[in-house]
Amino acid sequence: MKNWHWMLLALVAVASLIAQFVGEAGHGPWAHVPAFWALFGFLGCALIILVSKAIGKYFLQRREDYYDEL
Amino acid sequence: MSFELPPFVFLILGGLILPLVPRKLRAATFLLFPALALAAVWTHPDGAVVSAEFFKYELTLMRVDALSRVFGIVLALITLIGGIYSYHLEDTGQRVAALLYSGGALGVAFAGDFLTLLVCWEVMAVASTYLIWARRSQEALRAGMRYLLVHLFGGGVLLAGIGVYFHTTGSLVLRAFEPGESLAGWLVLLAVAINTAIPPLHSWLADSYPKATVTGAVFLSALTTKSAVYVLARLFPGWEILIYLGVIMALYGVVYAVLANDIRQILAYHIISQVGYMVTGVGIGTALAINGTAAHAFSHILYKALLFMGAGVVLYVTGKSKLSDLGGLGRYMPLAVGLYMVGAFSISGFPFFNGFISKSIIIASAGEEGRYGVELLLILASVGTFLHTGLKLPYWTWFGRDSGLKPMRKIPPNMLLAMGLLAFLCTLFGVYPQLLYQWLPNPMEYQPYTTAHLVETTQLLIFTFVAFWLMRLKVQGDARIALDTDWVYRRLAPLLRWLLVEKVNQVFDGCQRATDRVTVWGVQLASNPLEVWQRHQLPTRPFDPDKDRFPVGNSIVFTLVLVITIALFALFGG
Repeated sequence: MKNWHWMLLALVAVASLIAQFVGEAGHGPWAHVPAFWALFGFLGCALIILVSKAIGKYFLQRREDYYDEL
Repeated sequence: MSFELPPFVFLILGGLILPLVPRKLRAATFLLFPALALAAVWTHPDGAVVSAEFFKYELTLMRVDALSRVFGIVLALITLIGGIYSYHLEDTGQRVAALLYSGGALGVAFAGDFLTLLVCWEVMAVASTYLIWARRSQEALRAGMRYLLVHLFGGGVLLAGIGVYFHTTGSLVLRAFEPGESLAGWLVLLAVAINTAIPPLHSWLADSYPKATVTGAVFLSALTTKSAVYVLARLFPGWEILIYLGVIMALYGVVYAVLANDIRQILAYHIISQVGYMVTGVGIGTALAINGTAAHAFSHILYKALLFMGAGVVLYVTGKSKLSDLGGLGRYMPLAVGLYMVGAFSISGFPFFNGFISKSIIIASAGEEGRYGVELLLILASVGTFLHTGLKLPYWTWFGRDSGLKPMRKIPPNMLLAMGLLAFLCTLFGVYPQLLYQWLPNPMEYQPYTTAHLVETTQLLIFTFVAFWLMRLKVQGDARIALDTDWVYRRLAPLLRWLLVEKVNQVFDGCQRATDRVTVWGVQLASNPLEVWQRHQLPTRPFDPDKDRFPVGNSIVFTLVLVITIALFALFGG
């Protein structure tokens, strides 16, 4: 990721934040919360990674030859 | 009267004719059959019916309406493009299996009665198994056998459901069940849930698809689950339980995709996740939701096949498919990466790609019903979709750390052509959603390109990317497996077999051996009691007839006494 990539992303993100209040509103109780979807995307992604990794570590993950032992 | 043939006829006949065609022409001839089926699906008018007499039953081999047609078009189309992708292949068995498999799927999509449905269902199960076995590795053989057993079990449950249905209603005609209607309904739902890969009945999918052949996985990814979604939409619209199962599916696939290491297993878990949206749509059951299910199945088949093709290219040229072995391959296959990314953008719902215009219909239909929790959870699943299919998989396969792996062979151009066609279609339907919406079963007023929807998607995608970038090391390949519900029949079943079969067999074996010993001893005792007596009394030296046998005179005296006794008895007795 080069710097100009990040700048472009930031530009689009800012545009979407502004557009949220210019165009017609969406539906749902969250329609008027600023940057709702930005937060949702960021926290959602972090949550998915952390929770899944924890479930994997403590419950689900085994060595690759687990099923070959029997 | 116009003459119409059920579309599956072309494919099943094709499967029978193909081995008779000269070897060199088989790859090209293959394409003919799905093309004919596609033409048939496209041109058959609503309400067209083909029926046949079978013993005393009236079977409806084909019954056309909009819902059948939209599934039929995409099932035939993907068989055609899958044929292009496998054009280089020299394996007639796989081609025949693909044709029969696709014939079964199209048969399901147009079946008008339960018996036709059942037969097509079983044809699919058997034909698709070959696409796993054709990999010819020990792993694939075993996974294929597990796959087949699960699907035959599903077929058995379906048959049971149909039996109950016929017994109680006296009819075989396919019609929607009222929510929670009857035992027959629940049995059929259970059978269809297996093919739809609804947890906990889903593990056959993530177990077998990564082990299938490169080209076989493309057909597998498209046909089984989506034909099952069609049956759900046909028979179970508005069953509320499906809403919850669908949401669970959507998130279940996401969690396991974090843990999966094989790139085709990541994609397989995302089939489960994506089908979750469709199952939710069926559960909501409104006109908009059913449209969403059909549209999303259509989009999904196109981009998921494209993604499997991209992963297949990696496997084909490197022989590896585990993320922990891959990395830095992008410079050897820039075109394949680009085309894969079109599929990744589509499944992630980027604007101007076909996921954007279909996934959102289901999400909107949940919002329309005031089910905000369902809506948010589905959007969370779609964050996960972008995370895995759009970021984790391509980043750690083609970029990221350089594994030093080099391609062993060239990518056949037909593979890239097939990917190009699908990438074109994913974009075409994304830019012109009306092309797809006109085929949907219900009238459609939904408009995907609104400011609110664009804002939502842009923010979600950008910030998912930011979170991924910060945590990307956490999601790199991990050379371990994650246990899923196939544990029950892969680990628990061997234990049960040990306890209930092997242990019981040991008891029987022990009894058998004991009886044998008693019999042998009895026979010895009867044939030569002296030998047994001697062995018991003087075990220090072996039996010697000269020393141990009674003198012969004893026998003569004994016989003489016996004869005299009998003679005396005969003369004077009684």
